[in-house]
Amino acid sequence: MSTAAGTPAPTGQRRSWPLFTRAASAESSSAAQGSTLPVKVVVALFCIFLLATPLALLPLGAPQPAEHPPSWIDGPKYLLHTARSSLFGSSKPSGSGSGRAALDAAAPFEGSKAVDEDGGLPQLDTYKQGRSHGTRVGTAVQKFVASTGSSLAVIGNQFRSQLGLSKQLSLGDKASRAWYGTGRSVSSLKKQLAHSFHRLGLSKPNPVRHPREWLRWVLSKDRISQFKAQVRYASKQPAHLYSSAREGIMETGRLAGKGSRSAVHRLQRMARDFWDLVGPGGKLHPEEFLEHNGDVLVQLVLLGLLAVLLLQGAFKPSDKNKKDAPLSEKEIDQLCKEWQPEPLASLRSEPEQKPSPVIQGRTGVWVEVEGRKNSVLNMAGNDFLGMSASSAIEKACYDAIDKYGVGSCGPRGFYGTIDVHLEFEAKMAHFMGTEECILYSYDLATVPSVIPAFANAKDIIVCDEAVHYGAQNGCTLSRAKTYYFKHNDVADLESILARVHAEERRKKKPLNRRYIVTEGVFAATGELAPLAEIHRLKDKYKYRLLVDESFALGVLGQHGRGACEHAGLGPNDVEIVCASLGNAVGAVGGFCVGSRDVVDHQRLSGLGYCFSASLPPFLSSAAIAAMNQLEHEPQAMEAVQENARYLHDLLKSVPGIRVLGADFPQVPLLHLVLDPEPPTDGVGEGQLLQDLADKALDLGVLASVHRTSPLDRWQPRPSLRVTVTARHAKHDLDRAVKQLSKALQSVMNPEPTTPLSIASSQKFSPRASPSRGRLFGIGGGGRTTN
Amino acid sequence: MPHQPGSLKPPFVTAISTLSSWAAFFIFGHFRDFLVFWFYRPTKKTPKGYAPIRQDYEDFYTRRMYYRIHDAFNRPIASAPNSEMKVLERTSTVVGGANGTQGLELTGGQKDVLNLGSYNYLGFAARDDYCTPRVLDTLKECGWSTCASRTQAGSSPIHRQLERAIADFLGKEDAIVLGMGFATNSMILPALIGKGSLIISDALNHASIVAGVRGSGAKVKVFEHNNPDSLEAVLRNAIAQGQPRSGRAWKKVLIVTEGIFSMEGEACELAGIVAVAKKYKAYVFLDEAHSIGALGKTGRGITEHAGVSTSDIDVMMGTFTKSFGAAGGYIASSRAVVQHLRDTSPAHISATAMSPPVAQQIISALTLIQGRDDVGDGRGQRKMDQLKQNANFFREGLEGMGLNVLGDQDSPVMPIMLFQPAKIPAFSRLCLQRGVAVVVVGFPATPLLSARCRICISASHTRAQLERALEVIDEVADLCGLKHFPQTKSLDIKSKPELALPAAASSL
Repeated sequence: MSTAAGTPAPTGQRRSWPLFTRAASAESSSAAQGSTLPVKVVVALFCIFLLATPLALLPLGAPQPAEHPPSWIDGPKYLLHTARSSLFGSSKPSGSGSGRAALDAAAPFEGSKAVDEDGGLPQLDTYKQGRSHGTRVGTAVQKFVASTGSSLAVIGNQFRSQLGLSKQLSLGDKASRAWYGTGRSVSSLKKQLAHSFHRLGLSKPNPVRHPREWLRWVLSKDRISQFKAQVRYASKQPAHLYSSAREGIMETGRLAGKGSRSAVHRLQRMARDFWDLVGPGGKLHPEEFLEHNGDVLVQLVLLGLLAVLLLQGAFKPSDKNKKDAPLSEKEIDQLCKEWQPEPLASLRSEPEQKPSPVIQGRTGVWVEVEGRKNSVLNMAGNDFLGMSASSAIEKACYDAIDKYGVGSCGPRGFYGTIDVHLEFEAKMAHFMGTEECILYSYDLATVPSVIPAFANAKDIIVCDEAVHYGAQNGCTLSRAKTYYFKHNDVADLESILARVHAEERRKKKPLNRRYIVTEGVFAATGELAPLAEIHRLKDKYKYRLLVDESFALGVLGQHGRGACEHAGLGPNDVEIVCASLGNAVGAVGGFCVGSRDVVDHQRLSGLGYCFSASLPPFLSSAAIAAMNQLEHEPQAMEAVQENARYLHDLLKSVPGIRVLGADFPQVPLLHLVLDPEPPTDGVGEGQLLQDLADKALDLGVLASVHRTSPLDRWQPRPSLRVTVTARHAKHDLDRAVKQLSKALQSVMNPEPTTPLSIASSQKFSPRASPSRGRLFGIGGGGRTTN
Repeated sequence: MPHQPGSLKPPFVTAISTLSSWAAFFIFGHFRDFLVFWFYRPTKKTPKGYAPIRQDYEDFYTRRMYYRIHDAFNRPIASAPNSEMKVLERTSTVVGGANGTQGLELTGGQKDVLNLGSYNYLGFAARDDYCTPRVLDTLKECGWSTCASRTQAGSSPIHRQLERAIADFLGKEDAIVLGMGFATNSMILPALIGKGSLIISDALNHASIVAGVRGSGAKVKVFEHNNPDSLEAVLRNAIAQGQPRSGRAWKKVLIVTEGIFSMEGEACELAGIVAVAKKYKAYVFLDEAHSIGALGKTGRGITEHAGVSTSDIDVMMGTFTKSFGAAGGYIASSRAVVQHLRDTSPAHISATAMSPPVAQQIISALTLIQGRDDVGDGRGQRKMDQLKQNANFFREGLEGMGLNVLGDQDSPVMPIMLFQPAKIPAFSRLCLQRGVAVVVVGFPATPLLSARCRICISASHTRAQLERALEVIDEVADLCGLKHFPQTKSLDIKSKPELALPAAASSL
């Protein structure tokens, strides 16, 4: 027979192979995931089921009385019969037809039943039924085991006789006898045990499950007399048990002894059998084998092997080579020698950023800028209420420096708490209408200390994407799961809250702390946060709210408490409020107000509070004096709002720029962006704005370009930052806007002949393109003369 | 008999008793909570749907442990934190209410005490004849706040003057100053280093460094406290392995350590660390918060003390809070690095600039300790010499008593190990009763087993004050059972002529 004929085309096999692997791997993985049972056990059970099915389907007639050993179909047949009768409620299985094994196994059952009736437990009918039912099934299983053993022996015998090897009682036969004998002794032991358990009222299917019921049952009059009888009976049991166990063990021992004695004979016989088989004239002797087409069998086996190999695909490389051997010292030395670090920081190749203007002397409405003769109008500082001009605050600082020195020389915990700190905290808490206040020594360190004190990896923070770096850093340091919602977009915030809520419910997470973090007035845009809506959402989704009021404190709201008050929220509606003291209060530092719990906890866990020196006392005195002034002169707050409205109005009419926070005219922090957006013809928008600021400074107005750190997550469009204070007069603002628009024209549409262009315009000319002015819709030379 | 060096680890029996003390606290705390829960039914509850704002264990620790001893911390004062100061008296610890959350009320009384707690190393905390008039002039001229960040309109000539002065003092190309020491670490490190880089940090570095490292996004590995060999082992392996998972080479490796460790008083093994850094081309970030001004012959910090050139330190960080009696921090480095920080650090870009009087205080103090003042009597140099003498005198006194004192010679920071938690308030209260204010530190600022008292010596302490302090500590240490080592010296300091101090140090 040709071996090549059966070999499948390799290419075809290869092509179909991937499909098979995918299916197979998917199946196995799903099985592994889906069930806790090992796959192998399931497969084995399935095979046994397949083997057993044809046997069970054999016609159920009256089985022939069998000689010992019983016929191999006896066991399954009896099993089927029993199962049927127990299922359909027929009476006892007719033992007449079953094999000897079945009869023997049933005998203890009969015996136990007799004992039951003798003992007389009338109230346990149900139990008896259940028990006899159970026993019936048990017996059937036992018989099945016994008869399977003998069936296997029969099969073995038949197979052997086919091969002409059957000579006398086979090994299988002996095994089946031993199996049978053990089974019987074990079963009788079990019976005895079950019976005595039942006698003591301890057996499993006892209907009186509840301990109270059981106790009542035990203590009933009948029961006590019964119990006595039972004790009498039970006292006899050990001897009975012992004797039957002994009998069983001895029987097993006898059989085992016999087996071992004959083992040597059996080995000799097996050797003889084997030689008969393969020796000359034997059935497996090569000659004989070939004669009877044994090679076909070999070929088939080989074909099967081939198929398995083909289906197995490529060889997997062994895992041994995968693991890296640890590097030797020499290799490490080499690697260390080769490694070249990047420079810590390199000087930029691009022209150095123009250093920001340096203010000589005090800040105020008019300031002296280093390198310029005339003082310029300050539209860049954050001294919204004009505190820097107050002589009362200066006096307070003077006294404080005289009394306390400059520094506090220690953190708050270690003698760095000075009475003026406590005084400020009390004052600020009173001003904000909260229980307590905690003072930090730096505005940018306040929020990064507050957030990690209240959130950790299990908690959730939902944060506006435009918040300042401090808040972002706080989220990072807390390791909480942080979601950023689109700047001031309440719909996006709600969708995130809903999504988080759904996810938390789905994963059935324990209740965690959740925060919404935003700014009252955004330092990066000058826009107000929609705090009323955010507060509604916060209540709906059970979040706590943290608001940074740095640019709204002292400016917005009825009492100057900030954007929250402006939005109609009370002091206790927002859990945590932080703010800088460097803006309207005109000092240095930051603080956080809230309930006693919130503040007290920070005194132990606020990083910037615990691990850094406290605020220099004179700055705390300055802040106290500023708060006094704010309380006594609330008109400054009105003035700054009034000025802000006026400036907003003026800037509206300037073409070429747009105010970002145009909807919030009471905010004294304005971010101007170029409108329409300039084309990026090699000059960045930021650079254009820088030119604008420089030009404005030349014209006597100090405004700064808003700068972001590359560490900020959210990079807004470059903008020119313009601020206004309570001390600006209307004509100052008129002047500022006039000069700004002039500067804008000259930057956007530079013409060397323009009378306004001074020496510095020279540097803009190379970049100037005639199209830019037209594109921006700004007037030409005619309008630049005003 | 050579003195045994102090050790952070408690002896075995002490460790057992410390742990059992904590266990007792824990068990009794829970027992009380249990009683409160069943009999008082706390009225104040977190609103429905909200998780408590304090975590359970934090809450428990605060209520049942911290509030029992909180009078030992946060003591308010009503004067400059000079060698003598006024501590405001508060009501004694009453754990009131069901939850023990009652605060301490000021009684209105004041107590004059000797200050062994403030970081007033050179004695600039109080009014100074040279500095204060200049500070007041600056206040008049520049105001108290710029009300703007450095990049807006908050830069003042005095800021640049200060940056120049500190760069010159340390011999670096340039410097940048920020308004807070903590923020100098926590906001500068993220600007200096980021993803793809590695920071190798001393195991006992300050919380601000930890915050900066965490905020930077760089990978961090820790080497054994003050151990250059451990550093080398960590560094070698890290460079050889590259970045985790991707195996790429690190962009840069920064070693971060401190000059004097504030809680241990130990001076850094700078020479060893710099040698390792040089060998493996790593950069060194040195936090000199406590060592600048306090160590070295001319007050130039740990570099001078250890004989290392400042050019070998890539980034020198320090604070002005301690030796200079001001506030804020600096980074001194190459021009490129400082320029990079000016462009990128959020603290430079958006935080309120340093207050001008504070800057003036630092400049004046720097001028004085460099001997460039117009008075020219060498007072700055005398301050530094005095500090060293005071520190060594006091350390010798403490060690002679048999206390377990940590730290190195010349270091003005000397922690005394207390170990058992009950000794924290006991030591502090007993010292305060006897007119000495000390700082005590326990869990969670230190490990559970190593609660300690920290003493900071100042140049402004007179010898009489130090002797009085030693007597008080001797007595209190006996009461608290702190003498873990055999007593080697009697307290009779007068018999030690080599320790004789100038009679009147208060003129400094």
